[in-house]
Amino acid sequence: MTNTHIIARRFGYFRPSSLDQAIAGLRENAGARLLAGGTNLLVDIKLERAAPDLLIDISGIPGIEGIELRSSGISIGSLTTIRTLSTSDHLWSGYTALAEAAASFGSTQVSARGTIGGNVCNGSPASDTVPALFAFDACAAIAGPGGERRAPIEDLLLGPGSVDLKEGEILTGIDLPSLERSGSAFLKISRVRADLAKASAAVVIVREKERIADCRIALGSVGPTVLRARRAEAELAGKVFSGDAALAAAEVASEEISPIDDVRSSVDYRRRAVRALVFDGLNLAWERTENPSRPLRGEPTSLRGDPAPIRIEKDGRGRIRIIVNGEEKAIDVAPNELLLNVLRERLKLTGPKYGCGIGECGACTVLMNGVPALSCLVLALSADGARIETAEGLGADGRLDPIQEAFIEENAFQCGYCTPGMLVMTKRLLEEISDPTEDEIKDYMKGNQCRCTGYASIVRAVKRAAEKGGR
Amino acid sequence: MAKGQLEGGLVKGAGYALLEGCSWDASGQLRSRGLPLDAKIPGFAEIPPIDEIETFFAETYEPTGPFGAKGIGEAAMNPVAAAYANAIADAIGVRFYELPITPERILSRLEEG
Repeated sequence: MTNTHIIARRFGYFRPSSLDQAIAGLRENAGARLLAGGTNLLVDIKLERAAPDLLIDISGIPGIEGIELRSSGISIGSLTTIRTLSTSDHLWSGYTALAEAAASFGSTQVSARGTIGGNVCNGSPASDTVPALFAFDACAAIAGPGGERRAPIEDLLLGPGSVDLKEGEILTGIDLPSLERSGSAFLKISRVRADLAKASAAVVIVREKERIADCRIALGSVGPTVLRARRAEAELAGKVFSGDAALAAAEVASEEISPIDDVRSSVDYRRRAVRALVFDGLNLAWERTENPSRPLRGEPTSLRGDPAPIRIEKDGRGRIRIIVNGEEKAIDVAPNELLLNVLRERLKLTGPKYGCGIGECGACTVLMNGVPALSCLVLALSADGARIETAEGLGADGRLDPIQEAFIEENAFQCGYCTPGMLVMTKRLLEEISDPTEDEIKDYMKGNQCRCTGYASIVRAVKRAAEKGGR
Repeated sequence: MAKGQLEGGLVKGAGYALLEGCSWDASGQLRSRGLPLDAKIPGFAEIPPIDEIETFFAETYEPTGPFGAKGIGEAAMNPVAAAYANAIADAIGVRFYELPITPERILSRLEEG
């Protein structure tokens, strides 16, 4: 098995301050890869699925982040985080399927740093946002050496991990056209909630009185790329909406896919799942043409700091300045050094734990500029200038934080390995939502595993901490 | 603390009953190779509403343990898979003798009739 505690591979690190510098960097280095949130790329490097010689960290580039409302629709910058999408009131009301897809991501930590651009360019058929983007007929804005171009998202995705970007090109944004009288839904079946899809469906319906004026169905995890169920769409176009019509279309959709047997599910199950997902999705989207969905509570996140541009060679080291639990530290780090390695081995802060090393367990969670981050999937250089909080930073003057008190009072730990991650997650959750419901607690913490498994007592502790006023 | 041990055993038992298994591809290679991506364990979202988890204690004295004490967490895990299997048999009339009882396995047994 691979060692995921460290990154063994050596690569250079380049943090440009403009799009042009990033494009030039890509052109000059055939082995370069773009780095944004890093939640996919660093896993791929650790598991030896990617072998870059240079990482170009685009998180400091201005002008490609955020959701902008336009008369023709909305425009989403490629650096916009998944968490920003899942907490956007505007998306929940006008583009529900995309907000819902973002909310279905495996963990708060991954959504807080993962970006829409990264999710698309990863090229995975199991992506959650891509089916929604297909169903909204989204269009990509791409910058490259020859200037800018635009392309439908559907044309960009060629196969598993294969994206139609030419040398030096960068996805800068995604535009979604405006839709009147529409409703949409994203539904997903997975082994556990914090997981990739066994199968997923995004459905958009444009309504004309009792008829379906236009309908789009996109399916994830059931073919080499996300795919549109065009025969099912044609089946419904112009028809009066009914349960029978939805069921007939769902049957057709289940014949249009080419699923495989893998570790997550089987061909037969996926066909059945698609039929159910499309049927439910059509009903839900239709219902939402009249009654829009209610937004989820929570705050958006941003990757942007104000790091100065730097370039460090493979064998070089760069100096980072981070504020750890209120104390400023200046540390020389190698490009392949992880924030977790720096915290544990250099600063001797052993609160953040090495669990899985690939972002599945949450034990290494710290707060980075207030936002939950998996320190095993953040390059130390990317943390330059950031404010880092670990469990050691909770409480002051020898007194425990109310969150720590609540965990003790509820016996919310057994072996304690997951506890530092649970504590900092609770801190941030209560900052975002001071009175979380049980479902909100479970959803916010879904990416933090407790093998002992004290979830019930942790939920009680978070509720008790909220009653104490949290922070 | 004892309540936490029991609840932990119940959730672990549920993972064992419903999620955690090994699978092999057509060439006989193990698909789950120790990465938590391949094999899933229960998370927060998989536990029932916390008010619906009830625990009861029958206080006894275990003569072979120190001060009459006895392990509790492991024992709590034991009956869970059987309880799920019984509930499923009661609901759909199909009895499972293999774990985990996944949606894929249930569907395929239902289709066999």
